[in-house]
Amino acid sequence: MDDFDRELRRSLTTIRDEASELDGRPVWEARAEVLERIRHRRARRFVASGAVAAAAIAVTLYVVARPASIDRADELPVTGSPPVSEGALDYLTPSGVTPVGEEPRDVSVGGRGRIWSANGDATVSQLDETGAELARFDTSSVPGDIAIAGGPVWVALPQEGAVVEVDPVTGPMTPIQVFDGAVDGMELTVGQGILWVVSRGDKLAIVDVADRTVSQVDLAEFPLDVAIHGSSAWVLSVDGSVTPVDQASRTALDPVFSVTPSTSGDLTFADEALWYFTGRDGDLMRLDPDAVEDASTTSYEGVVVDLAIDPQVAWVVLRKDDGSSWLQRIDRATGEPQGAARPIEGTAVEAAIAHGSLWVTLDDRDEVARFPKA
Amino acid sequence: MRTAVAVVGTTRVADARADRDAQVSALFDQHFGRLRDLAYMILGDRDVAEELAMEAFVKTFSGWTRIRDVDRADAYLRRAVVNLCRSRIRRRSIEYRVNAVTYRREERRAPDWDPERHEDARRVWAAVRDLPPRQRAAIVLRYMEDLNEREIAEALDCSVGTVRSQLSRARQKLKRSLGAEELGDG
Repeated sequence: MDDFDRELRRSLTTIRDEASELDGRPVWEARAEVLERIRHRRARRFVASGAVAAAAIAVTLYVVARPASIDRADELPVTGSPPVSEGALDYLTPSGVTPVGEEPRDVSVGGRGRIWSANGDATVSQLDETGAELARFDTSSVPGDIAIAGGPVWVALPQEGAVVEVDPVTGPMTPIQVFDGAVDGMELTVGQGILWVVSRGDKLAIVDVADRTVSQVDLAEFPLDVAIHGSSAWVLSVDGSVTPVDQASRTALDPVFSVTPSTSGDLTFADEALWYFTGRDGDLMRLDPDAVEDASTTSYEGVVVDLAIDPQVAWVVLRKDDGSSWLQRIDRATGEPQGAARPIEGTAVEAAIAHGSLWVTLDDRDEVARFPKA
Repeated sequence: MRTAVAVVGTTRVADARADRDAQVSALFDQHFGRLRDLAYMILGDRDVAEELAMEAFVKTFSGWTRIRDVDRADAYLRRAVVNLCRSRIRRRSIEYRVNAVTYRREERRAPDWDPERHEDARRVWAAVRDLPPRQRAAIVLRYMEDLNEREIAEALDCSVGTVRSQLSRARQKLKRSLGAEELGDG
């Protein structure tokens, strides 16, 4: 261990010790809540899965009824966990994988049909339709969201509160400062010459792509995400409201929708439908902007972590309680599942559809994998 | 006969549940504080860290009728916390409590508060939190939790080789971002 290591250790333990002195929730109270949640979750599992419950009860009765088991009270069967053995799962096999930068997150398509991944090592990768990495550009800090419309590729730099245009040949251009400094996270969408930028939980700004000027839009609630539909940008806020902002006047109109409030959330428009998920549960909501009462919510097992949709198909990326990632094809008209979900190897973060494939970032493998989209 | 079996079964299940609750309670008292600190060092938010440490217990133990391998519970819980932290980072969630936490910290500075030392430590911690999630977790597990490479690999669910490369990359980045001299390498 050298001086560097010792200083690193000293610094981290200093911060930890400082935090440990803070008032927190009483341990007894937290413990009681945990026990209650464990009981509740077990009960919910039994109610939600009748077949599993019946099987578990049958196994329990079987074990209890066995004469030899009466004296072995420490060996009651375990139900529900740990994860299913890998051999029992029908894994979906990628048609190819491409090593990219470390811990890739967002994946987007555009800019001459190229696939772009935002990597955790402060780089962006550009892939062609075969998956070959054509270029990897350094960004000045860890990139966040990517937005592409036609040619230009826009990348959010949350640690700088800036956005940067990335030229497919020469790489990043001069960043545009959008917010005063680092922000918790940024969401981008681009259309009709305007780049919409959300500082999650804080502000909405717009960048005029032509002259690169920045202006702020006043909102009644803190924004989480923004999507473009028709002549308006639609802003999802922490209170669950979805508010159109007129592109011409750049003023917020009255909220049109109300979805489940959350401190995280993803809003996507595809065709004439709005899709929403919180990233905290398995619910996927589909709304028709012209018939709000027709909203439908489909509940998937695990957590919906991303949605990829094109004019033919749609897929959701799911993460189960055991940490495994699954891909589920869904009906674009209803959000209902089509066929069975399939597990994949690696931790899937985001997905996009292009060139007949579903492109998925695997952040634990530093790869972008592609799967047949159908 | 069937009734008798059912009664015996019910009693046994109830006993098992009570045993499990007692085991979880003991493990909670033993590990909760440390797991909350681990999450805090990775995420930087005290309230979220508390929430995730609690969720780690729920996720780890809600599927179990009885905890058979108590000695391994620590490793299971640590892995659950790290996974939850990385998921939280991926989920791009936001939190509003940072200001409140900062306020409380300012109010509760220890009598031996050394501004220079603490500011240096915060600068280092900020650089650690700028690392990609896996490298960030690896650094915290190595230097705060004092885990060896095998234990870190278990917590991150990856190979020992991956841990080595992640730690190496993370150290290089920290040296670049902080300057070798500041971290005593010059």
